[in-house]
Amino acid sequence: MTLLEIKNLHLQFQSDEGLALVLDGINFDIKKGETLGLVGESGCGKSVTGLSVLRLIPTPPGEITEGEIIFEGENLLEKSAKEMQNIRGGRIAMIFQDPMVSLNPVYTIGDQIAEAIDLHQPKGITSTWDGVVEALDSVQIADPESRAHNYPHQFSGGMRQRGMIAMMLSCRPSLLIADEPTTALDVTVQAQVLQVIADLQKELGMAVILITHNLGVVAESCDRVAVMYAGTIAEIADVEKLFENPKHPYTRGLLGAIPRADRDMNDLAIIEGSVPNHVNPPKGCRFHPRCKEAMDICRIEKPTDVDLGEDHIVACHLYG
Amino acid sequence: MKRLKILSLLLVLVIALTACAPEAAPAADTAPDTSEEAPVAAAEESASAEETAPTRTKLVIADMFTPEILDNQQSFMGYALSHGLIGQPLLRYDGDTGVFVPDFVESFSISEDGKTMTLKLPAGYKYSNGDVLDAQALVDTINRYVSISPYSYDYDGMESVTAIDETTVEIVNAIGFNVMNPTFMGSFGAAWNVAVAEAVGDEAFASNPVGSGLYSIKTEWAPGQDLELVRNDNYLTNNPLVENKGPAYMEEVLVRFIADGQTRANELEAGSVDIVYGLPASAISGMESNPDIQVFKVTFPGQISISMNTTKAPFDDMAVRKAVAMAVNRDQLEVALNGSVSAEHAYVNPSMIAYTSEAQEYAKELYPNDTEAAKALLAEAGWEDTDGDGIVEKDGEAFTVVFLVDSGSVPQTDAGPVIQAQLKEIGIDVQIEQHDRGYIREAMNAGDYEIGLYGYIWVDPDILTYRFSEGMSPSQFAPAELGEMLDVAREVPDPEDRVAAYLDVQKYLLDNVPMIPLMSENLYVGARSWVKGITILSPDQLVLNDVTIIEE
Amino acid sequence: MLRYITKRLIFSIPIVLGVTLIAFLILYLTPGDPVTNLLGSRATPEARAELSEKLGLDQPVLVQYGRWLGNVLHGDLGTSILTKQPVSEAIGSRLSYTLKLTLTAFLSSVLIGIPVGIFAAAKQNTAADHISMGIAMFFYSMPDFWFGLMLILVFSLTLQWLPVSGAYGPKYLILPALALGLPKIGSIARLMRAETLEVMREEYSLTARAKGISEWLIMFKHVLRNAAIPVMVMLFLALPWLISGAVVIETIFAWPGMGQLMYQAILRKDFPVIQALLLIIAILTVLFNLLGDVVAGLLDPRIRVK
Repeated sequence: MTLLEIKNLHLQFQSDEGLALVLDGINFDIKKGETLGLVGESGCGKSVTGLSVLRLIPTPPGEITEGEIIFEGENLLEKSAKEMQNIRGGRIAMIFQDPMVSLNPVYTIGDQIAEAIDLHQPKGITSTWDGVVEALDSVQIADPESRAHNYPHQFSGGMRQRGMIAMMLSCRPSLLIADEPTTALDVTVQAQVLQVIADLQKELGMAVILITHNLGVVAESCDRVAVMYAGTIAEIADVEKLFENPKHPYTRGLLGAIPRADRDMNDLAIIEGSVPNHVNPPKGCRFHPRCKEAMDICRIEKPTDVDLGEDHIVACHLYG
Repeated sequence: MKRLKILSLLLVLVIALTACAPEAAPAADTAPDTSEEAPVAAAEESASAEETAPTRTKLVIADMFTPEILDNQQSFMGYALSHGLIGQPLLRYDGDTGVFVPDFVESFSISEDGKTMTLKLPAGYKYSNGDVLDAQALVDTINRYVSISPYSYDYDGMESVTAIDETTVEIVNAIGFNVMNPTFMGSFGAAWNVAVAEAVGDEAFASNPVGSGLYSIKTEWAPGQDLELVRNDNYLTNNPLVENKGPAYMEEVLVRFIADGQTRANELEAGSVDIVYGLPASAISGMESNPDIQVFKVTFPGQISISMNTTKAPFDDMAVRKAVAMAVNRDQLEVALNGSVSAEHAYVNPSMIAYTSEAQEYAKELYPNDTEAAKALLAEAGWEDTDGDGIVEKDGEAFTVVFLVDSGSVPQTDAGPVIQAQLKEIGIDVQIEQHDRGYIREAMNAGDYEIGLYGYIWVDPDILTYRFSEGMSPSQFAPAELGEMLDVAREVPDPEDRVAAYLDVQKYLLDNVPMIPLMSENLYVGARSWVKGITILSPDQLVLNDVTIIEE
Repeated sequence: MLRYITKRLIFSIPIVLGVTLIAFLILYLTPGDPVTNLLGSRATPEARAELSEKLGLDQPVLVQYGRWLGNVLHGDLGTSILTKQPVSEAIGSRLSYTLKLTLTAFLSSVLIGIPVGIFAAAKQNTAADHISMGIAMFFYSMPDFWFGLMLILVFSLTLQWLPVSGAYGPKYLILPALALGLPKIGSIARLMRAETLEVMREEYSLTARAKGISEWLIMFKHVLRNAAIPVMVMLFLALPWLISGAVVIETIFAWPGMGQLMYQAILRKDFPVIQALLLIIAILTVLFNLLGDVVAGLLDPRIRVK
């Protein structure tokens, strides 16, 4: 059953150089309980996609000009500010890349979790404080009773991210948007944090959008993957299918540097050329200047989504 | 705690807002009454009763000089208005006739040889607190001055002071009374109640002294505070220069000490003070056209002159000094300084004792403002502009000198650049340096400078004795010949003879020009037009005996 | 915390002493002593020497400093050369006036400046922001004495709502406090706006938003507490300066505070008074610095631990 569906989403930013079309009509959906990986180079629009879902894009300068975000059957773009506040942290949660700066330094971890609980009043919690302790316990923080009285600076990086997860998941959302949740952490604690997310996902039955540029993380944690390029979705497929049989030249390029799973899986491969700027993007397919298989039509016409069957969708003229 | 803080903040705001409301008229009880419009109706009613009836009994004065203490015998400060309201001078000087007249004393006389003065006191006179002020009390006060005043040298030469009977005091002074009189004619030499000083101690007396002046201290005063005075009902005067010889008409006087000139002017304009002592020159023109305000101009005795070091090149050359004297244009100075000074050509100015216009005429004739003649004098002395840069040279050296200016004196700092420009015209390059007065005095007395401005204020020409004596002469000019003339002039008993003696001194000085008289400072006193009967005898003598307030 | 404060106080003693010594040396070594300033132009060298001896000014500077310091340690600030008043008395009677004036100016500038700064930050880049910051910039750039003169011109001379000068009641406080406070309003509003914007851009503000907290609560709970820290520290650092900086305003408004005392003392070289005022300002500066740090520590747990 579909939990979230994004249809033809357009997002633009007013910048000093001009109007930047940051999301150029993206489409994807996510089912209940599912984990969708959102991958791409930095600046491709994966983070703003996450923020758009929660309508956290600062306006101005950003503005969603077109499209729909259907969450549990309702278009979030039509919600009032008040309704969105109830959804944020309640039904949809989000965690960010750098736990060192994403917690307020002047309030204790416990206070910050309690704030979310008081706000959304999740069912099945006897008191706010119990909810706080329970949430910290669920992210495997030892001695949660006393740790709740600590300030963020008294936590290590991994603990802070777990604290952040505890805070965001304390209200049992049905969707978690995790924006690069492990990028800023030591390698040793990355797996631990991902495991905490996976455990809670199973427990709460929530869906996760995992925004990352680490294909290893994707292969390990995701059910499906959406590959983004310059504000568009290049390809969406089940994780095995994508790794085994990438269709889009960009996806193939990304995976090119990662021959097989028996080798170390590293960050995205370097593809020749650079990410286009959003103010004056290339005409037609935005990838064509870097595409080795580019055809004449790629320079003129924007490719449409092609359904290759079994939920494998690719936006490329090669398959049109 | 937090709530309390917020509450008090709100309170402050509320107070501020309510006080801002336009209908809130001046209410504070000690505040000067400013109601200018209010009395209209009342005035109309009372007009029929009596046209000239005083409408107020409290006078508010804003003074530019903040006295450090009020006991004039311990004070360092001259020209403190308040001292003169509490103390009653023995004598007064009538500038119009050039003679001394009695004030506290009934009469006085000086012996033929000028060495003995006999003072006749009014019988049964009292200090403001009711203590007897007889001959012995006056003797005590004079003795206290000698022992306690920093200016005890005012009484140099005094050999004895004796109470002959209850109302007669005899003073013998080996050098006559010309040096003593300036003290007697002001509040420095007034009768201050020694018995009280001894009872409360000099320190307590310093701030709250008792005298026999027109007013006495109403509420205990501390330095920096306003001075509240009340009429002295024991007061009597023998001063022929006032009509009212009894206690003052105004029952109370509030003296406010306001250091900023513009603020004083604003207060007068707002009508919240009646008399302002010291208006800034910038405010004068606006006030002279205001029918609600009267402006008085008083010139300080003494002057500001250009002093040159006569023992050091280049000003050891008299021709150079004369050239400078001819280069200065005093009219330009008067205009540039907004009328805050009056041009002065000779050493004894019109506000001083023994003034004569003859000295001024002599000076003008000797040193007319003549740039060409000045240049010729310089050339004669070997200073010529050989390289065409506008500055004269001698032996390859340009005429560049440092010009010292007292940073604490507005007329001096203002005059500096004007003189700089005038000297530039005859090819003298002047570099102005501003310093503290103490520094300048020390440098000049030590002969460690070239040229600069030097100011002094004193009513008696005896000041010249100091200016041209060894170790105290800023121009390092103290020839024996001049010293003898000054010694004689200081002791001449007859006023007319004294004028002649000092004319000789002035001529001698003008011939040698160690100092070039430039200008005298003016004091502007402003008053609301409703204040009637103001007399100002000298900058420190605001005489309130005849003052009433009649608002129309 | 208490140990930290004690330690800081002990460390500040040599600083205060150093300041007073330097001040002493500057005062006494600059040419022009009080005696020349006090006595008229007829004073003979003997009269000057006599007064110098009476005031103890004939002693070597360090001896004088030692004597002064010894007296201060015994709680004796000396006696004014001019007024013969104990310096502590002279300062005491003025201090309350200065505190009344500066604290009113300070509190009202905080009460106005901080909300304006927050408002402008919340309305960033709108007309309201530009207008309020334009006014703040104007307040900030004009000197306080200019405001003093303008306020007198408008409210005292033209409208005749408020008195020109003096200190005879609450309404006499309004104009000097405004003149002193307006430039501060400008600087506080500008600083508050900048700090608020910076905190609003911090990721924890985004976290708060993602938690579903209302914009109002984010501003007042999450942003302000953080933005207040540097502003508070700045305010505490500025307070002693505000007190000593009131000289000009006190002069214009004939306000009988410490500024007036300082002005008169400097004008007439009343060394004991100048020296005591400098000592008080040095102590106030050290205390307010410390107080600023303590307040910052209370607001910011990261500082508290160190």
